Amino acid sequence: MPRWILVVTFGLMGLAASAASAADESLSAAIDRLIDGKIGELPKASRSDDSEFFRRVMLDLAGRIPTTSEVVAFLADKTPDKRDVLIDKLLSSDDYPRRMQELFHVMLMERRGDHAEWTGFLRHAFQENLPWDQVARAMLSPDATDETLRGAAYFLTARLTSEGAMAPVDVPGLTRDVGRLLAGVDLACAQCHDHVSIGDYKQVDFQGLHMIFENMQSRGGSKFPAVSERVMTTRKEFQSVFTMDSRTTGLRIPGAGDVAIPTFAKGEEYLVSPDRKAKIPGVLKFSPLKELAAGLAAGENRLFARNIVNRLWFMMMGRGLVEPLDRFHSANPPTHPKLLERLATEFVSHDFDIKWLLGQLARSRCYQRSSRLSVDAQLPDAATYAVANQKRLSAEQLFWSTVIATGEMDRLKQKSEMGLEQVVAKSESLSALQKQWLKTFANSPREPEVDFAPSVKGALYLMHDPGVQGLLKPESGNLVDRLSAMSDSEKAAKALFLAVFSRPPTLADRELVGRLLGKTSGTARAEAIGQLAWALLASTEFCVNH
Amino acid sequence: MSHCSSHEHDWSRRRMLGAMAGGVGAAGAGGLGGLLQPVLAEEMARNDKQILLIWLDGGMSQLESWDPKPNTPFGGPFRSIPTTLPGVHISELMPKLARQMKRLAVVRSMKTEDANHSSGVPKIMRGQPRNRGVTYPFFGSAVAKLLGPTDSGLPPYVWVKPGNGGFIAKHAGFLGARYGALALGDGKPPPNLVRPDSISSDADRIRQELRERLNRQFANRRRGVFNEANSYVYDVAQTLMKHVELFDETKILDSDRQRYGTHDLGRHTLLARGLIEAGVRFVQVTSYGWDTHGDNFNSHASRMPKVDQSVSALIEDLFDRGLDERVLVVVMAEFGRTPRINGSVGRDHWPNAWSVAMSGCGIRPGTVVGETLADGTDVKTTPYDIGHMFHTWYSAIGLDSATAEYRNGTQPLPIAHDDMHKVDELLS
Amino acid sequence: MPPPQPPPQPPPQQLPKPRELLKLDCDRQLMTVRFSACGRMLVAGGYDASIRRWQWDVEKPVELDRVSGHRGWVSWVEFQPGGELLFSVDTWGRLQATRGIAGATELAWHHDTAHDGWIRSLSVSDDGQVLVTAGRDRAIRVWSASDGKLLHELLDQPTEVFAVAIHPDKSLLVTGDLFGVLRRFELPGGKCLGETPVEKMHYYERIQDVGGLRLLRFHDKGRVLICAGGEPQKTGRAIAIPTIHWLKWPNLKVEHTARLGAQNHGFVFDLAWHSGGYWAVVTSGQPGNGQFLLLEPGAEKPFFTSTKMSNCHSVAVHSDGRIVVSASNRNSQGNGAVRDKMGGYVANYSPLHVFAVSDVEEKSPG
Repeated sequence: MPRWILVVTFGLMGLAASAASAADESLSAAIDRLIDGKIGELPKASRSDDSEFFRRVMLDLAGRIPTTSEVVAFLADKTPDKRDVLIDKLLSSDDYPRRMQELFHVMLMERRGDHAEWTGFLRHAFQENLPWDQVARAMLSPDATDETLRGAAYFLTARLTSEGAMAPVDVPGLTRDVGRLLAGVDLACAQCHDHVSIGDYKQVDFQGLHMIFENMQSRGGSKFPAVSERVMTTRKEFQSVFTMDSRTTGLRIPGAGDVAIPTFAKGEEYLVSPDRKAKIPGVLKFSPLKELAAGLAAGENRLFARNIVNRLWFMMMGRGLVEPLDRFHSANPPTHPKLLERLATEFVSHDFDIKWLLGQLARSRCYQRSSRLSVDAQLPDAATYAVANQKRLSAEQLFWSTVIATGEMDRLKQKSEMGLEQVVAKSESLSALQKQWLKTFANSPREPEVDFAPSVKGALYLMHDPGVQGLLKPESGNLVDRLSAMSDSEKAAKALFLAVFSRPPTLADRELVGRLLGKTSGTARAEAIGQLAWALLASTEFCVNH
Repeated sequence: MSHCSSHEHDWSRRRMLGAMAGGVGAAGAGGLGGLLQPVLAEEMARNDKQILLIWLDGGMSQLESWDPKPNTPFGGPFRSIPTTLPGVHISELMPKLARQMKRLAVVRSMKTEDANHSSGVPKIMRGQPRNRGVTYPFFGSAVAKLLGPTDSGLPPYVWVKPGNGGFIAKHAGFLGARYGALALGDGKPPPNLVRPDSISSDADRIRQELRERLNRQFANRRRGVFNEANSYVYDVAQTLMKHVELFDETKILDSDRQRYGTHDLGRHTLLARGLIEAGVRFVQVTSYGWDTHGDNFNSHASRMPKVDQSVSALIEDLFDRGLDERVLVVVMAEFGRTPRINGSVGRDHWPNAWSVAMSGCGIRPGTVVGETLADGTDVKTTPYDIGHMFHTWYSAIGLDSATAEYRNGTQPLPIAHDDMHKVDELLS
Repeated sequence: MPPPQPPPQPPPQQLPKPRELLKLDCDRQLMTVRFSACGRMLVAGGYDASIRRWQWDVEKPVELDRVSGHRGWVSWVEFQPGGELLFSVDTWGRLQATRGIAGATELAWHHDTAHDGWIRSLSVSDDGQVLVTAGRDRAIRVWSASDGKLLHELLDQPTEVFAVAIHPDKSLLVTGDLFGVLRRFELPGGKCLGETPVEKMHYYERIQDVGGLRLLRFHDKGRVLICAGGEPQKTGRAIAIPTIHWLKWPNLKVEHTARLGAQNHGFVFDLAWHSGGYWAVVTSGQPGNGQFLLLEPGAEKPFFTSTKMSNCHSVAVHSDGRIVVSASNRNSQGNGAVRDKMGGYVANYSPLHVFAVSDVEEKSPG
């Protein structure tokens, strides 16, 4: 496989080159240097203003819009490095683990289902800021003895369930997903033959990975998601449907290489023999899953490192350096190869510290650029990052934000310590709304949530659903209620735009509100405010991260 | 299970942001126009043609429908009956369609290559063009892109199907999510279609205008793609609301109900007629469960009468109302069924020699094209692939399939397989 | 459904154990097999409109030439009890009576359009005087066995009739339809005496009705009515649990039900009473899931099950106790064109499996 060697060599060269400057240049500075270097003379957006930045970084790192008081406080804050302080604050907030759990749940499970152990595992991982390689190893070679980590097995077990006679267990699908999500390579079309158009993806790559999962099964009797493996003794035989010649392979780990399968004398395969009566699986001397975990989730594995930094870059910047996110190969180069290498290298040398990387990304000028040009000009391509990219909001981000924007938090929060999740969990109406919300705005299972894909279903939901309309009726303490009490339209405009758009209203905004509210009072005023509030909630400015 | 199938060889999925980023080339003004990048501006302008595709998922048996071989070793138990076309016989299970034969065109010499559902269905749906490393759109998405919505403003691609509804973006392939199918599960309207009484039409109008104004402000000096997509779905929602009577069961005539049948296929075909009449550019009706590997003959004995009933009622209505001049109807599946009868008294998948039927706009009525051997085991005359059909259907609706192209970024792509051609005998 | 349990501990008496004696290959698929009353001939109806016959009272069965006249599939053949005629029906609607089946055959009488289309069921009265046919054309017709004269006809049944049986005393007949409904009709006259739905022998989904009540037989001089077929679980394929109900006659109370397998086992295609005191039953469902079962009356589970035959479609019991099962060849299914070495399209066929049933006891362990 000469191409892989080439790519790895390139990576090592990049490593050498950046090692010299790594000492003096922060990663965020390197990002800007490399990004700006390619922007050249293209029209470039200026730095985002405070409200634009605050909303964006809150959504990205806390998974929600800020509350009005948070916005006001941040805008009033005069400290020069307030943005850096904010970034650090968000990374250590209680919102962060929730946000990251939601994000990674959707990314890794693609709406296949949920499990309390899995949620627990992700929360724990982000709470403790576990290194990404450790998280990946927990998923690939689950540790049933560790209560905080064992739920990671759900990544595998959820893909081993049959969905009825017409949709049996899809082990090749599992193999494919491991490649896509953890190594950035979609080997699906290399199952039956070498990939017809991607030279790097060979059938042996698929089969050598697939045999690991063919050898594995879900552990039926376990109360928590768990897998078990059989003794593996032989190489996998496979045949291309094109050439029909038979070949064999040992384990083959994406981005690493082959692992030979050792032979043991009969009866000698286990370190700890399984106890079949008590249904305790043994500990194999040679565990393919362990080999996979060690080989794939390792610092030396460039595919592994590139995949995660590309996805985290996508999360913050709205576009991958390699697109699609699961299509790394030599004929699909990154838009900024040096940058990708630098990110991967530094991430590895910082022990796969996600918080650290996100902090560096957030500190860059690239990230903090406005999504709007300050002059009339043709907007440059999204891949230049000359103008910040708009990003899809997940169903979860949209839901939490709506709950905050409409003042439900203010209405229901009984104690100041009650967090977002608690308030919703305690409210029957909000819990029901949450369920409905996810059904409406989440993608169908197995459809990656990458593209912005608004639906007629979503539009009709926001337009007509009684639960949503209920949020906009005046109820003690909620947004519409508070606004209805304000006789001054200017005041109402400010409160409204701060609450929903997380920014002060422009002159045009204030005039609009003034015209609409005019001299209305009483129920007519409350109705007009409801219509206005709905219009803001249904607008693109609210339902998109910009 | 092979994944050579799933997500359909998706080599270069273009994201909304990527493929259609504003500002590159002739992106056009804001609003709908910006997203469409029409290459066929003239065709789009005044093309009133529509398509209704009836999809019999699983593979209807040609031997129990369009191409029977009665009293032969593989012919099965049924007889054939004469039709209104002299010399042409179809299965005894389709007496009503036999009377409509003068309006239909049937191809009996279909020969395709894929005997799997999961990979075969998308191939047929996409017209199986030559592999260029992109995921081609399904027929409905392609027409939605090539012709756009009709003047009605209704979404151009609506799919009436049993089970769940929703928006099926992946049909659109490289064209982008926008051209996906609006699926109506069990023919029901999308949830929340009807405006509740608590919101007056005035209040609705006000709030929609406010929303649009806010969106215009937002879009100023920003990339327009997200806003266009978001605005579009609201436009579609409001247009659909204007046609809410399409879903009002009390408005269905009893005579229509009887003629089409009260079973799923009948109800859905009747709704499809309504959608066509209201101006949906491409309507697809799907019937599932045709994969009769076992008990094939009892299954077809039960199912064919429903196809016979619904499709003949549809053809009758289209012709009676003069809609045949602008509506193309296609009835097909992903393949046919084997002549060999298996131990389960069933027939297995058979792409080797099967049939497709069509009628209406641009199609020569009362035609049978192609022949299979006396025992049905192969095509006797020139075989046709689905690419030939796509060329034929595009021609029928007024497109020059040999020269028309999509533009995927800067990559031009023919709309149908460039090695294939339209079948002149099928065209009027 | 729980999987079929292993045969229960056999009671102290001797239980028969069949063993396969030989397998006759036939070049076509067969729907129905029957022994003549004298036992000298085995007759089968095929998918190729032919009636095949084998001389049976010889060392190894010898195939004689075929009986023609039919078209489509020969769906049922039945010998006239106490008489010399063979009755046969096909899926195009023809009914014929053939004599001389052991030697030079001769057409006794026939009706080309006894029905319009598929004749689903054929039943001959115990005294051999009268026979009844029913079919897709929703008609039931009663015929004189000797000359084929139409005696009664019951037209315009509400639905397609799948099964019909005439009571030994000829005073009435029963039908079973696509919807699993049993109807009783008085003879002569044809007045409908009542309707009884048979539980779960019908399923509707995705525009398809699957009929499960496929066989009706009177047994024990008309004291018992057997309703056999399957409980369909899904449409589009043969997904059903093979089922037999024994109903007490005339009150139609279900005395006993046997569910003979799992969902992929399909339907009971045929059954025959063995003089040894048990039923021989064949089922066919998903490809490769055929069963040949021996079932004692009143038993929940068969005492003998063979799953070696691919899909079993018909069973006949010889007076000497031998059993013939017509099945499908192995690997009968497959997508696309399966070709032989010369490139010819491979057809399926129905091997005939001959079983001898010895009375040697098989003691259960312990």
